[in-house]
Amino acid sequence: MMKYFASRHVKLVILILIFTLASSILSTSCSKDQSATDQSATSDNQLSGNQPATGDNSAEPREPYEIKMWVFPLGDSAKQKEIFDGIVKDFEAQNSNVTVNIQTMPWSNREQKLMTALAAHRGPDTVYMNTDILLQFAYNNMVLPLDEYITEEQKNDFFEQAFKVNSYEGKVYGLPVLQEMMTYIYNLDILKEIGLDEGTLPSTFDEFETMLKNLKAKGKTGFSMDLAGSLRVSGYYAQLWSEGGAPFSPDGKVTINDAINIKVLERIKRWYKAGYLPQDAVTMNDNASLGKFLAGDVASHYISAGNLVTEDLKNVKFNWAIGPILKGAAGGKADYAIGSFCITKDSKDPALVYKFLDLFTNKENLTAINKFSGYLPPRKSIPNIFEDVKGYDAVLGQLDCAYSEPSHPAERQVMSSIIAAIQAALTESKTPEQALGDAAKDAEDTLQKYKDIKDAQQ
Amino acid sequence: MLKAIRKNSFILIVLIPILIHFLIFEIFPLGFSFYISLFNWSLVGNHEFVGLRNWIDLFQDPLVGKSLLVTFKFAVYYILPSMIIGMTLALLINTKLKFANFFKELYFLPVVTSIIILASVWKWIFVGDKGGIVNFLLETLFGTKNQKFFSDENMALFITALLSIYKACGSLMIYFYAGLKGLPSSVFEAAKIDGANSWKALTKITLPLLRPTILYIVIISTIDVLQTFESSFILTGGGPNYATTTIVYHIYKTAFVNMDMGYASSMAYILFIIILIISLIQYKVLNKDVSYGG
Repeated sequence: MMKYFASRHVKLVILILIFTLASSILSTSCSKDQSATDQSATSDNQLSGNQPATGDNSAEPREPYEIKMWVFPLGDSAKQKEIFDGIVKDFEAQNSNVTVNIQTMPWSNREQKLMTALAAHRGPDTVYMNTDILLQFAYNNMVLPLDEYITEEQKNDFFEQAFKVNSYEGKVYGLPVLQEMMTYIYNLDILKEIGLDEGTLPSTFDEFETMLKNLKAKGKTGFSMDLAGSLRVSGYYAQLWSEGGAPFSPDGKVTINDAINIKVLERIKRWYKAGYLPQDAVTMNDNASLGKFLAGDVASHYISAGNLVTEDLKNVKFNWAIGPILKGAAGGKADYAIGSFCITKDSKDPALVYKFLDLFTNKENLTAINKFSGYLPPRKSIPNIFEDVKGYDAVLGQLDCAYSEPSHPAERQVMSSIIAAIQAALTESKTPEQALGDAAKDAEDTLQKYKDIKDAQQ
Repeated sequence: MLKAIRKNSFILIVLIPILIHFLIFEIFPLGFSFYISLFNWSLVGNHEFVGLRNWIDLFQDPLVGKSLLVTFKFAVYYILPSMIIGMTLALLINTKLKFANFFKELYFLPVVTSIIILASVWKWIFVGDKGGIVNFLLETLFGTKNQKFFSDENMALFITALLSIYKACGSLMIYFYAGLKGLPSSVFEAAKIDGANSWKALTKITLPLLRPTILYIVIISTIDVLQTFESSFILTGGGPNYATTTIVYHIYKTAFVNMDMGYASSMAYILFIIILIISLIQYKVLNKDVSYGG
């Protein structure tokens, strides 16, 4: 036995085993050190009332801390970097031993990347989110409520709606950084062929449909509408709201297959069959849809006001104009969305992170961010910063049409069911009633699952 | 046993790191995935133990059945045509003609080109409006009316499969080419002397002798196609109306969009079992010893 263990080969095998085991143990304990932080709210509310919102050099030196922030391209990348680097420099100068690492991620699959990072306890301290994703993450306890950190100044200056849409079960989860408003844009060169100009653009869905019919008679495609991406961005929800409908009732019941929803889907189907929409609309996403309009292939599009400052729109080779928000039976409504920063559960110092976000979203910095990105500022005190941007006057005049249906954590899942229903109706594999009926059943099953999880926790 | 370990200690030294890697990155996730399937869980935050409910639900979920059917249809569109094209290309480049090497590289290009780029070009070629290249050619040459391609439930899957065939046939060509190079030339010489023409040589000699290569390609193509994801994800988003929603795409959406890792894990297990059974059947049916001797 001793001769065996004395063998060189066996010694080597044992050594390798020990080394590998030791490496595994070391790497596991290192990752445990970075496990989820204590989610209990800190009582050290440095931002309330009398204390300065940022800059805390008078306090005892803190442990070195790196705030990790994930952002996404909001506009010109060089300009974005310049602005964000300036904010970081200011914050680091005011807060010793704190560094800020801003990582710009691509938009695609952002929620998957974030979810994976949080599951591995490698998530950022703070990340930019739109409302629908924010609520889903709030439901899953992946982000922290911010109510105890929000200052009086912020409560007074931010639009009330901006906080409201970021709320889940009465708590605010996002600090707004921009507001997005959707509107209708028209290619005036194409519309000239049917006798329309900037002053005679359609203002109701009936007038819009007449325009589409006249364009089709001239061999033109009237409306670039994507039906495989977000229904908020495609204009489908805007049509629904304008007719007085919604996917959910105010008390949270599924209304996907009610008469108004069916009426809107029948209208879209009618447009598609008549050739008013591109034939690819069924599987087109918003980028492709916008691309068709920018290429001058279609006469109109439902566009984000943020696009008005982009080089793409500045470089188009046709005349364009912003049209009125189209009215239905319940008036004119266009999608209004909020982009916010939230604090993730992986953050070890939420108070410090909020201090940074407070600087990030102050009046001066938000003015710069919103000006370059083209999005509306969420603060009342910021004046009109788009005086020199073509089309923005029209957008600002439409703010009373800005509408946001209260979101639900299950919105994205339910939207997938509605998209499938729309596609089934347009490809005529189901009638609109059948398609929306199936979508309603899927939605009810989804909501039941969410309810079961919540009930199990109580 | 100690004697065996001692005798094979060098092999163990080489194998142990790989086995540990296999344990951590293959066996552990397999086990943990089963554990997750017993919960309603997004892996982060709220979760609820539900036992076998996810497994019961997936047998009652019409979308699971539909996505499996889509996947099998995709396999039918993909496996045989890609093998035939791969084999044909391999036979072509196996000739002693000039520029055979050039064509070998040309046919292999789609394999090394990013699927994102290929999919973008594919979408542009198969635009469903009049301006699309294919629609233009069909109308000009045959007078056909506008085809919707990706917006047509009956056509979308086929067009998507064509992209996968285009991307894969270059690598299948290389596999078949390697197989052809391994065949003994004496057999073909003897066949030529006996008066066999090219077709007879192909069907009576080449194909039977290539059986091990064909078996390998059938199995890996099947495993590959049953896990198809990129084409649906990039080209159609699983639509229209789930017509291109393969089972892996459905698993992806369930896990990462719906944040329901538990249900997605149960579906992933079912897929694993299906692939395992099919691979075993293929191995049993196609695996026969091939002798090159007289």
